[in-house]
Amino acid sequence: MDNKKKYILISLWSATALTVIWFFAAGLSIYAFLTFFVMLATSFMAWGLSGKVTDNMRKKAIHGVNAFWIVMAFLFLFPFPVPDRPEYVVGEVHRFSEPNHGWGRGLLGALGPNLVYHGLVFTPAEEIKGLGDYGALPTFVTTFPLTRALFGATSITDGLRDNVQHGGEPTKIVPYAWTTWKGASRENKIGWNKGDLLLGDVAQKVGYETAKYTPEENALMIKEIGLWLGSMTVGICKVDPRWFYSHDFLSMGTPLDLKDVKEMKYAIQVFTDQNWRRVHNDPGHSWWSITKSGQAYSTSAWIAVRMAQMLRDMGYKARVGHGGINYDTAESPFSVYNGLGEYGRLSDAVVPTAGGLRFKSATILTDFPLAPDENKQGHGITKFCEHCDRCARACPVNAIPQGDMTVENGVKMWHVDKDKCVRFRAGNLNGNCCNECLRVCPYNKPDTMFHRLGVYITRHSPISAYLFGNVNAIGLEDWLDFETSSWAGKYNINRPARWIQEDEGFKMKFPYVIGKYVFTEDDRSTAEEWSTGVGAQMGKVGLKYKGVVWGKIPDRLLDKNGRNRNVHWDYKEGELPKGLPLPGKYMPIEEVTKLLKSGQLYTGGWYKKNDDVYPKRSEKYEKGLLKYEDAVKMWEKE
Amino acid sequence: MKDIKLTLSLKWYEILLVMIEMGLLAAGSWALADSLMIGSPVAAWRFLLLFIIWALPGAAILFFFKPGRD
Ligand code: SF4
Ligand code: SF4
Repeated sequence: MDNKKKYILISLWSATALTVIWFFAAGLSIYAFLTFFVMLATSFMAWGLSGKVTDNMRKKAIHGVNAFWIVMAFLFLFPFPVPDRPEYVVGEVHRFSEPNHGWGRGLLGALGPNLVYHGLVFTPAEEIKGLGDYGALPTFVTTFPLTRALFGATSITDGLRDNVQHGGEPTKIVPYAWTTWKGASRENKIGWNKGDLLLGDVAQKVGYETAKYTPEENALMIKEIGLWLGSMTVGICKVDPRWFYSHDFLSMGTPLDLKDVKEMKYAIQVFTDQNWRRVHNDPGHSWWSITKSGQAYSTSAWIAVRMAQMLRDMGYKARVGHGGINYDTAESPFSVYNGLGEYGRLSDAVVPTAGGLRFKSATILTDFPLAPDENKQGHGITKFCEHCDRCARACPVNAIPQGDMTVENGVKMWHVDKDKCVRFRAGNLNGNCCNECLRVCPYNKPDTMFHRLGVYITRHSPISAYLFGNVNAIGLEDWLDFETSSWAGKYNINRPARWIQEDEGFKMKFPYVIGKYVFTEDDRSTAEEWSTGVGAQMGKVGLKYKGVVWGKIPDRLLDKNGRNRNVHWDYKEGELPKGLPLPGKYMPIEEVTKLLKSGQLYTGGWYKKNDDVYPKRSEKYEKGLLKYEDAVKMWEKE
Repeated sequence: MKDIKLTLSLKWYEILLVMIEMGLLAAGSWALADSLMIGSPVAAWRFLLLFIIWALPGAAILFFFKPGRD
């Protein structure tokens, strides 16, 4: 071999070695990874063409490549044991107050007046005059006819959630048609049907045809019926009483006494897809985004209220929680403890069989004895999220944490800045509701065999998280670019964000009273200054991050007048009048304290001291470290 | 017409590599079809490209890294 060839070969092999260094130095960059294979092939080719190859060398090279792929196939495809569901509960957990969740704070005025009036920017008040419960002011759920049709449907099902009121809900009970008995449920238990015949596929599994009402058989029946009614998947778990909200949103502060719901031992969760085609083609910051929520909420609600009515008619208690905001409980823990999902970086449960985050669920709480699903074995999702930060990167307002999990309210997971998220979703003037996080999550794909294989790999393989996700560099999912859609072409791109902010220097005055509920100084938003524009920087607009300039309007989105072609709405500067009033009012602390102590006002929030919560927390469940399994056992005995 | 004679003699490890290469390309084609069906053309061709790139070293060895060229 002449020197020239030798030097070429040495250079090529050195370059190949350098790609390995580049790969690790750049934090597992997909570009380095791909370049390595190209360089390796080039080096082998050049060596072969240089003519100094023996049979033995060829044999060794082939053995090397074969061995590499056999090891890779083993690492990716072997059913390695899945890690157990992580232990999220690591400290004292308090019940969550519904008025204090993001939407509660935003819509009740605790985040400022401009956010309360956000809907006036896109919908004239006259257009929805007399709409009903939500009709006082337009909001993002009353924006246009389709959202009104879909969210209006959840208002209809709200009254069908239960026949009795607990903790202020349902605010208006609507008697279910064809109910021939009074009270919470039929007094005598009458079973599935006269012949007590099981569905064929259930009978096939349990081995007999006549219903025996074992918890296992009940669970199988419920699952089959849930799927048949249209749920993507059905999960069953035992209830942890800490999941019940301490105070209610719709009735503005009614406390929920756990004694009133002690019969609710089991939870059935049903799921509706927000649909890949819609998520793929109608970007989060479009006027369509909120309709995806409305569609999935109202469909889940309809599945759940019908199933609950069946249970009540059979002689069991059943109470539905559904969205938008008609829940008695936090919803995500059900999806984790029924074994279907795990907490992801977004704080919500990622459920692989329901498109990751692309679902809206409803839950039926019941005393109908049900065998819970296996929930010890996890899905490797939390582990995967440690290596993936696509949702955090995509969030226009940096509401999703990058970095490690933190502990809040005794729960170790990632905690989203809900105030930022809500302000952006409700008040984005360029198309509300967002869903960017959901859209970019690798679990968000249609349920094809190929995607199932991907989910299998992420579940079992010890190395897949390093390949698919990547917190340090551009990862495989980034490079593949599923965001480009052939169906929507250039029209599925998000418009840059511009959202309602509070007036300069705005500072909320606490205590703030609305209905029966008091927001106190402890409830002050950590994003309050940010909400007035200080440091907001319009989220990531203009920031260069991982090679992407966020918020720059891509040329393909501009029409010939330089106007964003995706904007279906014209709006003027100063959309909201100055000095808008809050829906609630400031009340001096002495007066508030008196009313709290006399039981005329209430306040909650997991972060408040025990003495500052009215009514008092449960000593039994909200004190000390109590694991899910122990809480469930205690609740069963209530 | 003259008969066309094709003789192919491969060692077992060469056959294994050919099978691996075909497997990679089959996986790439599956990824291509699946991604096209879900309306993601960029992901489709990049997925195919990914598997082709993975198959390159094996192909380079099979076709070029052999004795008798000097
Ligand atoms: S919905 Fe939008 S604003 Fe909220 S966390 Fe997701 S990406 Fe961020
Ligand atoms: S985008 Fe990535 S980090 Fe976020 S929830 Fe999905 S898998 Fe987890």
